Amino acid sequence: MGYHQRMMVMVQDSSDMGEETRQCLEERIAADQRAMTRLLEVGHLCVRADSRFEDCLAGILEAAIALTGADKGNIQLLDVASGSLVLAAQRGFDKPFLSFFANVRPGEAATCGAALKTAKRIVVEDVRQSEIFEGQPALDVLIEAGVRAVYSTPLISSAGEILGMLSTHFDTLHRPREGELQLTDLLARQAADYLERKRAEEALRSLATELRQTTHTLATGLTHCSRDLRYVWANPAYAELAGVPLEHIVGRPIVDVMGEEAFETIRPYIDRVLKGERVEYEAELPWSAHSPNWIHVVYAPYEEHDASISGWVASVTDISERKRAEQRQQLLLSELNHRVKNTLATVQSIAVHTLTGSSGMDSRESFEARLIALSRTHDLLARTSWEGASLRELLLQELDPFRSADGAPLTVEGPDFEIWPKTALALGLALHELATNAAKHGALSTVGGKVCVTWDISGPLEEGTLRLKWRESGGPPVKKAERRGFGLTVIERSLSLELDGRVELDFAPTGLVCEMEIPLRNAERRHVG
Amino acid sequence: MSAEQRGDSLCGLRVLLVEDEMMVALLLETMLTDLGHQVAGPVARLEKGLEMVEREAIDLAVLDVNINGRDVYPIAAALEARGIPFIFATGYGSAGLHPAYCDRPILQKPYRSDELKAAIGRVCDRSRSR
Repeated sequence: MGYHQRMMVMVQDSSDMGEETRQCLEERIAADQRAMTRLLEVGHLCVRADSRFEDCLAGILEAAIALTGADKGNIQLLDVASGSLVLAAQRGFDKPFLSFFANVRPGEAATCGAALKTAKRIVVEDVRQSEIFEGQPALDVLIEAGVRAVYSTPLISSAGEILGMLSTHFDTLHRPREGELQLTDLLARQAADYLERKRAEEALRSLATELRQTTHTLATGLTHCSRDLRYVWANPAYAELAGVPLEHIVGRPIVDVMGEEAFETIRPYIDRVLKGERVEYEAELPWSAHSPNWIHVVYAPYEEHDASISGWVASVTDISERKRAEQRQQLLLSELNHRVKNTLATVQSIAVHTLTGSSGMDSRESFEARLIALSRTHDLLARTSWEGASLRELLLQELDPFRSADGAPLTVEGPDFEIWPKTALALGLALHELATNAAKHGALSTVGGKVCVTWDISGPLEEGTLRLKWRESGGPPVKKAERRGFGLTVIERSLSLELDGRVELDFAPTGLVCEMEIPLRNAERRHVG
Repeated sequence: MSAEQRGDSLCGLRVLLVEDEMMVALLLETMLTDLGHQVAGPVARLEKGLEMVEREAIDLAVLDVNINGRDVYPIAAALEARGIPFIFATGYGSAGLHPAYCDRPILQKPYRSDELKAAIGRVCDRSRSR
């Protein structure tokens, strides 16, 4: 029977009763009204947003003690991890009781333990007579605390889970009055609702915190946009990508934040996601706030409960670095291909010119020697990733084989310079031809012959001229070449074409002299460290 | 065009060479001479090439696409303006060519003498049919 029905029965019955009974009944009605007021007050306390949790528990406990006429009482909360009840609020107890019953497991020798185990209210009218406490140390603790009777009411959630326990304790034997248990049930219902709401709020809060922590530490830009093309929400990484402060993003139209041009770029993808399609794309986005960057984007439709699409969620990653690396790689590959093709054409040229007009072992050796000279210059250039080559090293490299072969004296003198790869390749071949010629017919072909290579720079560093002189002496008498051989052509051409310079060959009887003049244009020369 | 011959009998043209790699230029020069043509240049600089287009009597040009890090297109434009046919020679292949010129004959380095000859035949036919 519900509370109101019971009141009705009592009022109907009051018509033909004695004055004493009537007075008693009026007192009962007044008491019930006080109880209802009390319940209402507790209800108000628990729904107020500024109420503290402890104050609400204390309010519920006070009301329980007042409604049941108890002397003491406590509220315990279920610790989900351990499955035991933990004291959360109490009134009227001292330390021995509080520490003994600090944690109560299901079925433990306590009224609340029994109520926890059965998930039902347990009423103990006399602790000395109860089976629960028979022969248990808990009994002594209760008696010491002055408890004679107790009842515990489980606080049960709407899903049927036990959230906690409301217990009231009496100094004397106690049998619950009529209506007392119903009032307790009402209060317990209120308390359970309150705990359930607090638990849900806590879960929501921790979820929100977790979400916030996650999205704020994520390097990926995240944003939620609405169908009316505004930002609902964005994370700091997105704000950084956009180059706009976060507070200037949320709530604003997308076009205002990223600019007209960028918005037009993403517009077709927005149309698709709003039709319910998951969209993934890469684009170079011309943000209005900063220079364009490459982004990788995933759009997922934002579905409402009724399956309508109210907007979309976007994850945006800056892939500019990756794109740059890809472009660099593409450029390098194309450059490599170009270089290989040019080198092959160079080898083709050497082959054609070496193998035409001469024959047998001689031409084969010349061909090999020229290829090796070319390859050595490549080695030199590879060391600087094809940035340039040191002039001195290039000279030494070409001349060293002849020096070690017969110990012919070589002099190499001049300030070191880094020369352009193309210059190095041409000069390398020219020097090879000079050295080969000297070894075959000139100063390096006899004992006592000498080759002296000197160079200097005239004029200012930026637009000066490199003058390099190859002078042979002590060799056999020089005869002017009858036929313009490949070597000679290479020497002359290497300078006139590639280096835009001049070359003079003097077949002096005392030894060949080759003078080169190479204009040092700004881009073609760098000082070696 | 100073030569009236066609196809296989085409010879005696004055050919401008724009090529910055000495050995490659040397090879092309030899090939052209063997095919019976005269060589103007070779030149390895843009300014020099433009000067030659302007001043010298040229029937045909073979252009390296990249000369000392610069695009050869200004020379191509100058040749086009004078109605002089030209052939690109490049290590990059047709993908490396500016879209405006992608229908022009290309010699992919390295190339053989008969490929050069065929390319010369094509551009001369083409310029004559205009």
